[in-house]
This record gives sequence, structure tokens and C-alpha cells, in this order.
Amino acid sequence: MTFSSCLTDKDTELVLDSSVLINLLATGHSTSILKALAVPVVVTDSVIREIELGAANGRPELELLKKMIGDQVLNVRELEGHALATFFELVSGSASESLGDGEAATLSFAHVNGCSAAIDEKKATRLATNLFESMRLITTIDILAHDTVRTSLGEAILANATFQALRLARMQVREHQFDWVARLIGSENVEACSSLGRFARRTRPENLSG
Amino acid sequence: MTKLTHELSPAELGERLKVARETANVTQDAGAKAAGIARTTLVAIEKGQRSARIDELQALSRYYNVSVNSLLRRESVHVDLVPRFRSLSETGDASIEQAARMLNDLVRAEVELENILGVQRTHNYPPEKSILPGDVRTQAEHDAQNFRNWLGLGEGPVQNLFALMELQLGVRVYSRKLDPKVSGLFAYDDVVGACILINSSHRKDRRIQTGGHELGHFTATRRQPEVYQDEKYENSREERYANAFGRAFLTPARAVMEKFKELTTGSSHLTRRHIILLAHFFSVSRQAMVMRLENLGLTKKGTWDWFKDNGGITDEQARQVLGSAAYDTSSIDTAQSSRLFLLAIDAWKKDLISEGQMSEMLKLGRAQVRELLDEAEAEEDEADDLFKLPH
Repeated sequence: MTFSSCLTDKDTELVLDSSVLINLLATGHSTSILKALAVPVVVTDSVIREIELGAANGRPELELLKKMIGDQVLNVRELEGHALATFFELVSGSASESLGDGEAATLSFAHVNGCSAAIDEKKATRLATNLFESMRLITTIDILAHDTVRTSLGEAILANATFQALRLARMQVREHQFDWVARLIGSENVEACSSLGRFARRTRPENLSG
Repeated sequence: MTKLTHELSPAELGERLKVARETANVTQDAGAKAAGIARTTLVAIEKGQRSARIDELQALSRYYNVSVNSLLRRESVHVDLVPRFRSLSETGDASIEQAARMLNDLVRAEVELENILGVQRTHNYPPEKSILPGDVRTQAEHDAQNFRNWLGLGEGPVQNLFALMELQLGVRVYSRKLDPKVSGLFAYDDVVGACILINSSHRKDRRIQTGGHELGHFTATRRQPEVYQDEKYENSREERYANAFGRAFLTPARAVMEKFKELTTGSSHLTRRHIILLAHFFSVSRQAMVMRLENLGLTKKGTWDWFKDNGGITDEQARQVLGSAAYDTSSIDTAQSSRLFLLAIDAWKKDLISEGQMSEMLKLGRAQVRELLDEAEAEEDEADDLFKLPH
């Protein structure tokens, strides 16, 4: 089965969750990747706060993030009105049915503004699927595998960027995306990525086509 | 969107906001200003007489440096250890404030995860002792020996002090990087029990010494929160008791005497090699070992000062004696706060918490959270392979 990116012409604006932004920052090529998408990319201020809190001071990804915001590669948005009310719905209630601030803000923004949400987090994805039927959800891999990103970066840089996101940020990969990732980074690098462990252990190299 | 919200009562939310404000050391005036409301309005919100509006809640949560989700999650518990540390003499010290907040947040996370998963923490505390008139060191020696007997440890060295605290006693033990001058914190609360935070950036032997000292506090002055700074000279009876207790617990008199005799038989002088082997056997620092020998009359008073004035006992010398495999100066000790991590991994696997919630609860960055989850997954896969039948 050939995997192709879920990111299509239907996606006219993209809002990034922390779970995706952290991977993109780890690629070392986040600016060129997002520029290549050629759609407006936004991030909520809750997500920025999460990244700031999670990274120790003086970490290079924080500087990079600030630069991307300064250069308007990423546009920071605050929630207002209906989006803020939706956000409160998502952060309230029992732990099992609520989300962290960043995840909730990303989904609320996408829901109210009719844009696509880039989110890798599994619980947030499950809740979004149940609560917002029409919302388009994509993952970091969908961004990396998008045609314009592939042509803009070239195969070698894309492979390196993907490998860095796997190695440094332990990017999550879905089952149907694994073959594409393994072919891109090379099966010799799969072993070095702990987040690919479960697929690697179940997939013998000879079963990989290509 | 068809989610039913289970709103908290204004009184419950008001109480949570008050605890969050006090933990952040913010006055009602400053909090009200940050939210763009009058102080009287904030007072009314905290008392539950007025509901907080969405935008006010968001502004307050940012100012108090907590997530809105942690204020509104139903199972969230609010622990108020921080203000108790503020009442100690070191008031106003930012690094102590930060450490107290870390301990507070980790305890909160653990208790909330217990609630989410429906598990209960059982603990098995020894009876409390009180410090009596008379020599505190003698009392501490005696209490430490009794405590060892109560634990069934016998005379040998303690294999893993933190596992013993966490698993056998049910003390909540955490380990995080703190300001170098802070060795550890101890707090006790009727609801959550005894909690200890150890500075993970200190060397292993120093962390063990901190653990022993905190056990002394746990035994005799349980109700008093404490910030332990091992390099700061403290001469209160409580501190002297805790130091003596830790020393006696980690290096029991009889065992030290026996080991000393065994190692020095046939030698004419006490050498660095003896100290290195003894310290390694009891998992304490070289300095603590020499001080204990002095204290038990096995070597002259001033022995440590002599070593110090004559080049000390270096890590390199220890490596030569013990070999690099046995020699450990690493400050990474994953065995600490293992229970908190296990609970969080379990809740995540059951889809009860998200990565964002886990990151905030454990006070770890995303990459560290993912590292924990990857490790847990790898272990699980291994187990699957173990029980898989060949077909």
C-alpha cells in the first residue's frame, strides 16, 4: 500500500499543535518545510507557552521558534469568543475526557476558523474525531510527505530532517506511514529511532518494498 | 460539538484559584490586576460567591503559571506545600521557592494520577519518635538502629535507599535537578503523606546522604517541612539529630567496626584505599566515611582534615581502586520517582491522559515524556515476544 500525504488542496490554513511543532523544530529545517507548504501556518499562544515551559532556557529550538515567529513563518493567534468557549469545554471535565491547554487550543482554533489541525497526539485525535466530525486532521508525517515539501527540500535533506525529528523529538509514526518513513531514512537508520521500535520489531527488512 | 461539561462548583474553583495564587506567591491585588478586575471581585471569586469568567480564568492561570486544564480537571487535587516552606527561615530564596514548587507539583501529579486510575497509595510508616532532652546523637543512633530492625535490614549496607523509601515505606520520593546548594526537601501532609525531593544533579553518594538525613526528619520531626542544604552549617538539635540518624542508618556502628577490622587487618596505617573500599561498601561519600570512623573512635579526630590538606581522596584514586565499572559518579538515577512515572505511563496507555497533560503533570519536556513512553512500549513488546508461541 502506498502512503500519500493527507495534506491536500482542501487545506487552506494549518494550525500546529505542540506535538507537531516539537517535531518540526527538531528537523533543523522547520522554516523551509513550512514555507514550502505555501499555506498560512498558525500556532496558538497556548502552544508557544507549552514549548517555552518544556524547553530548558537557551535551548536552540526556542531561539528558532522565536525567529520563525519574527519572520512570520508562523503566526501566533490568541483565542477569542467562540474559540475561547470551545477551549474551555475541552479543558474541563474529567481528565480522561479533557485535554491539555495546547491541544485544546489547537483544536478549538481549527474548529472555529475552519482550518486543518496538525496534531500527532493520539488522545486529542480521538476526541477531535468524536467531537468535530468535519475537522481535517493531519500529522507531522503528512507535512513532511507533502509534494511541495519533497520537491522543495529534495530527497536527501528531507531524509535527514525526518531522521532528526525521529531521533531528537521521537516523532510518532502511524502504522500506514511506516514503510514510507523507512524507505526515506533507510532501513539501517530505523533501528536508531526508538519511536519506530514497535514497527521495526515487527517488520523484517526483506518485507520492505522499494 | 456535543461534549457535556462537568463544571466545578464556584466554591471548588474558587478554592483552587486561591491555592494556585498562594503557591505562586501572588497577592490578591496583583492577581486582580492581572485579570483586569477589582480586588474585591477576586476575593468574591475565591470565596465562590461569584463565578469566574472565561477570560478572567485564562488571565489568572497565566499569571499563576498553571494550565487552565489543571485548574478545571475534575480529579485535580490541590496540595499546598509551598506556603509551608515559605514559613521557614530561608524565606525569599528563589531557588528554594522553585524546589518547593517542584515538590508540590510532583506530589499533586501523583495523587491526581492515583485518583484517575483508581489506585490507592498504601504506606507503612514507622512510629513517630520525638527528640528528648539529652544528647541527640545518642538518641539518633538508637532510633536508627531500631528503625533498621523494624525494617528487617539487619547490619548490612542499604542496597537501594530510595527504592526502600518508596516501595517499603510508601514515602513519595522524587528526584529532579535543583539549585546546587539545595540537597533535598522534606514535607509531610496528613492527606498525601511524607514526600521527599532529592537534587538529582548531586553525586550518588551525596544523594544517599541527603536521603538518610531526610529519613531522620521523617522519624523525629515529621510535621516540620524542611529544606536540607548539606553544605550549610546548621546547629539546631533537629538538624544534628537528622544528620546523626542518617549516618547511623547508612553506616551502622557494628557493621562499620567489623568491616574496618576486616579491611585493616595486617595494615600498619589507615590509607586512602581503606577509605575508598569502605565508602564504596556502604555507598556513602569518602568524607562521610572518614567522619564516621572518627565518630566511632576507629581513627583519630582530624583524620579527614589531614586528608583534605594532603590532596584529598580523588575520584581518580577511587577509580584505580574500584575499577571504572564499580565506580559511579553519575547523577542519573532512574530508579527514583519510578512510581510516578509508572502511573503516568499507565494512564497514558489507557488513553486517560494526553501527551500534553503528561508533560505538564510530570514537569518534563515533550522529548523526555516520549522517551518514557518509548521505553515502556519497548518493554511491553519484549514481554509480548517472551510469551509468544512459535507457530
